[in-house]
Amino acid sequence: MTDPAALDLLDDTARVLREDLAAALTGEQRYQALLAANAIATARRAIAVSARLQAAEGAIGADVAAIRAGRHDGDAALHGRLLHAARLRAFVADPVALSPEDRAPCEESRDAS
Amino acid sequence: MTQLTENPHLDAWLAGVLNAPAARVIAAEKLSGGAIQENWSVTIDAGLDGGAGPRRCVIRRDAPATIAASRSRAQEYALIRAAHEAGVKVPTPLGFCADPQVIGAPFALMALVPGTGYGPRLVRDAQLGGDRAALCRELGRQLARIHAIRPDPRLDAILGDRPADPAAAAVALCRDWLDALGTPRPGLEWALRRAQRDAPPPGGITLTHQDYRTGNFLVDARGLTAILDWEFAAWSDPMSDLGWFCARCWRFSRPDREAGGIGDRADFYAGYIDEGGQDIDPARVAWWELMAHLRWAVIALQQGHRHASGEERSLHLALTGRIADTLELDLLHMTAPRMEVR
Repeated sequence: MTDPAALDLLDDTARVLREDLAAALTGEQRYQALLAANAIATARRAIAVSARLQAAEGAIGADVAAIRAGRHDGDAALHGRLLHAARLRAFVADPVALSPEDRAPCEESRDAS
Repeated sequence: MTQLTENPHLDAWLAGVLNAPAARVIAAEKLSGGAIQENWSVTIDAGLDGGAGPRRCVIRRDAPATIAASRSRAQEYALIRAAHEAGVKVPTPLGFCADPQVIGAPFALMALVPGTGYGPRLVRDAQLGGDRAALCRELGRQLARIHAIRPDPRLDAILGDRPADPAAAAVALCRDWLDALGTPRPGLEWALRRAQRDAPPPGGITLTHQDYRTGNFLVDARGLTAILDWEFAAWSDPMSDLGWFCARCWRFSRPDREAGGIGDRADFYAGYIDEGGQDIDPARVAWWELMAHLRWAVIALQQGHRHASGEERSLHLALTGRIADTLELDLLHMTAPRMEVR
């Protein structure tokens, strides 16, 4: 299980960059501070879901050559497994862009594993 | 010599191009954006303006790291010139210097066009670009003009052969790019397979812009001032430009405004038709919208790879790579299995 205190540390660092530093800067420097805050928040989410994402990707069970060759056309079960892994990755990349339905299975309380 | 001020070779070249007895760059300022190209705003005293004062232009050259790609700057310039002659709103092309000795790399000289281009801001700030319905119609009209360009033999040679089947070629190109990246992406493969199965048959082929979207044109308070970023222009299905422009992934914070996050698709189409554009086939445009998500996802992965491979360490590139993950989720929703016999 991921160390919750380590995740808190990343949260706090991102907040300092975004709220204390970026707010005091302008132009290119402000942009860089916001970018760094965003990168830390992304890394934090990646760590939080990593075990579940690894399991989801391991469960896909189809190689890309077979998909390309049409051997999985209409395979609803595969589509469901792809969707599950994609939701977790999209949550890491940009949680705000997710619909509530896509977001719900990714939420924090399910990290403990 | 790479500097733009105090550069006698550049001043002499500018005098020739601007038809002035003498010219001198009195100020140069690097414009934002462009990791592959550098854009400089230059103020030129050519002493010919009858009291109008110095002239402001843009010098566009390859960044130092990418001089090997300099041939594409010449091609881009040829495209902008053809667009200008066809009445498309582009920065007025003033000259191209192929001699790398003048400022360290070949470069294009164009008139400075005022305006804002940053996509997210344009979508957010309704004060920009004037009346939005009028802006959408104007963007449609401009695209129709681009599709009507008949290249001269020189530009034709640059553009190469017309693809026999643009849709199939687009699918194949995405697969080649994914293979070159070397990391399997089954979710993107799923969507690509659907794209392959649903691909429209070959139809009309025109010159296309290939990056016609919000973020790649400039507006001022009244409306459109210039269409930019011509480096990907190529022969293709004209519907590919309409699909790229309307694709959900290029609407930024306003997915409800189907024409590039700016306004209604109907206004964009009306301008296109009004200016004599090609027949709009909604199913074909919809397919190119799916393809737009795929193409953008793979380009995002390529940008992330530039960071991850160590070729160019950059937080911006690293985060851009992750946009592919958001796009992959959208693509899987767009390609859910239909009721069919397996």
